[in-house]
Amino acid sequence: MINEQTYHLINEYLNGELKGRELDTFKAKLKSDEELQQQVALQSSIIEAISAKREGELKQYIKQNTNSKKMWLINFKTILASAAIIVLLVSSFFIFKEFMDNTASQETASESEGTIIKKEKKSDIEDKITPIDTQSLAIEIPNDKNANGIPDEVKNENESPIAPTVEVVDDVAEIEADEEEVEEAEATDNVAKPEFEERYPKSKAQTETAASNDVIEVKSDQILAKKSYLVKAISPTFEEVKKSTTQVKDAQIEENDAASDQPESQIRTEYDVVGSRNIGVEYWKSVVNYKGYNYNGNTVKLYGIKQITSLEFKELDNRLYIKMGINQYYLEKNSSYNRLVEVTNPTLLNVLNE
Amino acid sequence: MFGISKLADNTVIESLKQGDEKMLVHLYNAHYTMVKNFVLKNSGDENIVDDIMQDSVIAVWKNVNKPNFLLQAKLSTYLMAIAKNLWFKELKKQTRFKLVDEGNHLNKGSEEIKLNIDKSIIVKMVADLDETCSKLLSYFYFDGFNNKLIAEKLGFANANTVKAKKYQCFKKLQKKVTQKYNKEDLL
Repeated sequence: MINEQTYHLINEYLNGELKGRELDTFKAKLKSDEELQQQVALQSSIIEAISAKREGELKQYIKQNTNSKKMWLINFKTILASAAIIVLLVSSFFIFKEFMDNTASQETASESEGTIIKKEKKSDIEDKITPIDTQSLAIEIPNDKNANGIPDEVKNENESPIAPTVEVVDDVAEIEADEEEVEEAEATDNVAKPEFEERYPKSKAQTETAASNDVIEVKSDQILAKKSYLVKAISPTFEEVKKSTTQVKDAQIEENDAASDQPESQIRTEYDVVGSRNIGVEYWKSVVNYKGYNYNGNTVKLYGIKQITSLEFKELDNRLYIKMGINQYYLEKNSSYNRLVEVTNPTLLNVLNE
Repeated sequence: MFGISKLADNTVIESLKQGDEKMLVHLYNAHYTMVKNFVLKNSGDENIVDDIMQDSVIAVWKNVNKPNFLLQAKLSTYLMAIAKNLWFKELKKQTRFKLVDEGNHLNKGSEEIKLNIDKSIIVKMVADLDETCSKLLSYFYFDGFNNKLIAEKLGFANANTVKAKKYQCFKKLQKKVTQKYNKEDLL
């Protein structure tokens, strides 16, 4: 059995605490002393075992004190993370919804009144508008403006196509106005359009009009289509004349005074076509979905009337009647907007339907 | 984080030097995520993280109690460095086992004499010692506590008492071991 001194010496040696001469002496002794070698080996083995046991204890201690805590920690983190994700999802849903609502309302404002109608308008106009219509449209400009909110007094001035006073139209979109000005023999300083443009680039001009109209006046009434109808002025004679349906006709606009000024004689049963003239029909969509008409003598603006409805115009006694479907309506010539008044007088209906 | 108050490095080191085992838990919890991320990033899995973590914490524990210990970086950096080394050693071990046989061991024993003793038997003997001896030897050989600290922890009068008691305890243990093995076996 080793003595205490050797034991401590070996401890120091194994611990690396022996230095210098002490270490040399010990090493020299170790080389020669077999018993010391044996003791060192045994002691280091025992120390190893002690360390192993202690290490196991400490690890066990750590495990016991961290495992439950760690589980709790992970759980807590998981719960926290899930809660954060839920909050994020919910809040992002509402933000996204709000964003979508905003976008949607913007779209209803611009797209539904803009793009869709614009397309419809473009195609209708391109299909149906004729060079003659250009002129008729040009004449009707003041009323276009009217629909856009110009007071009645102003409108009255502009009502006649021959009216020499041409409004200086500031609205860039109103290309028809420019054309009118061209027609009116460069009456204003505003005339910028070359003559030939009036004939050819109509559809393009229309497109531009539509486009810029949409940009500038989003909320105004929308013109959907323009057509030209032949109006037969009937007047009672002794000859029997069968009325034919008026057709959409690509005819030149005529000076209407002759037709409308036809004198009528008072004969009951037979009616003759005493003249005809062209009348412009415009289909409008009112902002307030108003259903009615406006007739200024040359153009009938129909509000809220479907374009597929077949129309027939007749003029009797200087009064204009429109047949839509099976019903006859009386169109009063004035500057205001009127509701459609159905003709109920059976005698008149007979004459008109003949 | 989450209930573990952040302690200053100095406080932790002091506690470690006082042999406060609770600090092991603190170190473990405070650095677990960091070490875990590192190990996972370097082709390890979660099971090994616990081992690496325990070894790292215990290494810090032992090193702090070495007489010439001086912390030159943040404690977390130090612990992380230990964990990295341990993990790389582990990786190397794994690859070495694949490449070379354990024949390495043949050339290993240089001047050290290896005893043909089953370590687990001695471990059991250590466990069979009375608590004071067991603790004393553990503190001294494994934890590296100095005699003064051991005296404080085990309620001895002073360091010299510890030194004497230590010899007695060791002698007791060695007697048991030598009784178990014959002298020839030990050679």
